[in-house]
Amino acid sequence: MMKLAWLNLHRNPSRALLTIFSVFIAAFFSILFGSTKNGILNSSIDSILKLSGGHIEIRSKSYSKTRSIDDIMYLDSATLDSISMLPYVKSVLPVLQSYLLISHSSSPSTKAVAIIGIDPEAEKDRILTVSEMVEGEWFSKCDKGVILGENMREQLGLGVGDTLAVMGMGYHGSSAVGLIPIQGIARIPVSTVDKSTIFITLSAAQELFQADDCYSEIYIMSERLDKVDLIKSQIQNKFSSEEYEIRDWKSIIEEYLFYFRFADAIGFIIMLFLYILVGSNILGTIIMMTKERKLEFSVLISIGMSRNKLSKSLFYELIIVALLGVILAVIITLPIVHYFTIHPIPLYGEAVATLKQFSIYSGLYMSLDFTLFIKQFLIVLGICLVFATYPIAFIQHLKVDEGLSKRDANEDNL
Amino acid sequence: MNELIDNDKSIIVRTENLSKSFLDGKSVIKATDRVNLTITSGEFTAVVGPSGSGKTTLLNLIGGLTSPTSGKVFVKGKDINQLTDKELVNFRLHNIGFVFQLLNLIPVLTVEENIGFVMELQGADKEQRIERTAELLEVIGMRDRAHSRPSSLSGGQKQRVAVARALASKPLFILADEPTANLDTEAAETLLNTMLLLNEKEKITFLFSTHDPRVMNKARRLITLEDGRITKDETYVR
Repeated sequence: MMKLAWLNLHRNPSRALLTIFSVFIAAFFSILFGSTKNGILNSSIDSILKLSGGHIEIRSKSYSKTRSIDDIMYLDSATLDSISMLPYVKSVLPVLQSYLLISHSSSPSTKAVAIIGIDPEAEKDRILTVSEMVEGEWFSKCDKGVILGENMREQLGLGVGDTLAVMGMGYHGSSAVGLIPIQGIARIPVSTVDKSTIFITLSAAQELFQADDCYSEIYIMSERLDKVDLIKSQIQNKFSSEEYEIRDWKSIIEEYLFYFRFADAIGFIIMLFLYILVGSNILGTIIMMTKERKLEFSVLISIGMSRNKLSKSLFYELIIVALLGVILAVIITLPIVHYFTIHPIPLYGEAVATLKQFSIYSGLYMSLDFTLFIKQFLIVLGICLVFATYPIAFIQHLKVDEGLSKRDANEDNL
Repeated sequence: MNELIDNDKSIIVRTENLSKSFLDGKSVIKATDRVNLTITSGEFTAVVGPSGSGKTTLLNLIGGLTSPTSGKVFVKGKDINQLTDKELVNFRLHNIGFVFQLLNLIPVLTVEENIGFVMELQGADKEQRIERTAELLEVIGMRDRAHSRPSSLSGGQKQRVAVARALASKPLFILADEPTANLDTEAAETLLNTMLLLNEKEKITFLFSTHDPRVMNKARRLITLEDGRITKDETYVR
């Protein structure tokens, strides 16, 4: 039966190619659309997390409640290294965050700001992907200065080279007092951060707050979004649940989650329409290919081929066609998706400005996720299998005498 | 339920008040009307009549390809309309050979494979198939075309292969619906001679429909149908 099915495909190459093409189109677009949908979602989450945290965040439970510098956590470098070594961990970003009052000799008032101590090397790519330096330079490891947002600079009327007087509470009763130069101004797309946050190197922050090896939060970036739960569970094994709070990106950017779920639902509906569209294309081809072979099926049943055997042979034909179409689509989409994973499709005009407001990359990324390829492979194959029931039902209900009718007979079709 | 009615072993096919009607819009068309007919072993019988007289319907009814509106068809004493579709397919596979006017052969299989196809469906082993196929190729005089595809054969050659394929399962009889309709004079002559040879030497029973005078002249029995009814049933010594 398999041999007959295979040979039948060669009998009418244009018919076979048409069916393969229908399946190919279905798989091609569903893989591309699925990759784009996941890519946009992943890159959006990724870009927001670059300013709002990481895929996973660790902090002490008491700090989570009080936000007091006295409740930050002490972690040795071995612990941080052990987190870096976990599979799928892209980077570990320790942060020391607190609050200060800042003032300048030219300004009559003081201003309360959040100060975030960051690892300049590790955070450079992360922050500068969504923000840009408009004046001055990004930190080097030993810098002691601060970088502040454009908006705050306008409020304070200061620039690069000016010095801020800072005053706040240090770790365990010490004072955090000092004079810190402004070394850069950045355009930060999140307005709350732009208005009221200043950045400093982690070492300078630890020195200012007298909190060596202490961190308010540890952010962990994952290589893949679908591996966050795995990393989280491994971290949970290392940290006591009584002392530490470990949150994943869903709770960190809760306010965005609704929009992501909404976008995901829209994506799902579009995918559904795509499946209906390509599915009807496949079904149309299968119906056409079945009906034009009515005489052939009738002859085969007449000479003694059972309907079940004939159905099986046709089913094999469709499976071969579906497999060829889907495999071809995977082979062709793989390099395309790979390319656009690295090189996003650029956006222009207002779309860029809108996305920047939400701290989202201004480009359409694709996601090279093999599970998506397998999923789309199986879905399209599944659609073909479901539609393969049509020729089976057709053969089971075929009236042989009508099929042999000379009015319908056309040897050219066969 | 099978019925053993025909005690005369030579009777292969017997029809009893066989009628088949079709609806054409609101009017009922009687394709066959109370046809009573007996075919015995070794006959070379032609069903003749003008277009629309019910020849093809009668052959389809006898071959179990369609069910009658009323009446019965017995093949070797078995009421074939009592069989389920699955049983009927199996019954045809082992008892009836078919030759159609068009598309008899599976285009992707060679001549040899086409002839062996029915035997394969019967479950015959490869050796048996090879032996029988060679024998039949010899009979139809196409041994040299064993590995050819149907597309490279002439119309007459295709029909001869179809006859060989119909014979491969060693059926009780062969039903042929206008086998020469698409053939030129020479090809029709060759096909008929092959069929006659098989009938005379191998005692193969043929029942075929035709309105080709060349075929009628070779038939030993002519059953004439008009408006679905038998109007003449004549036997000739040729």
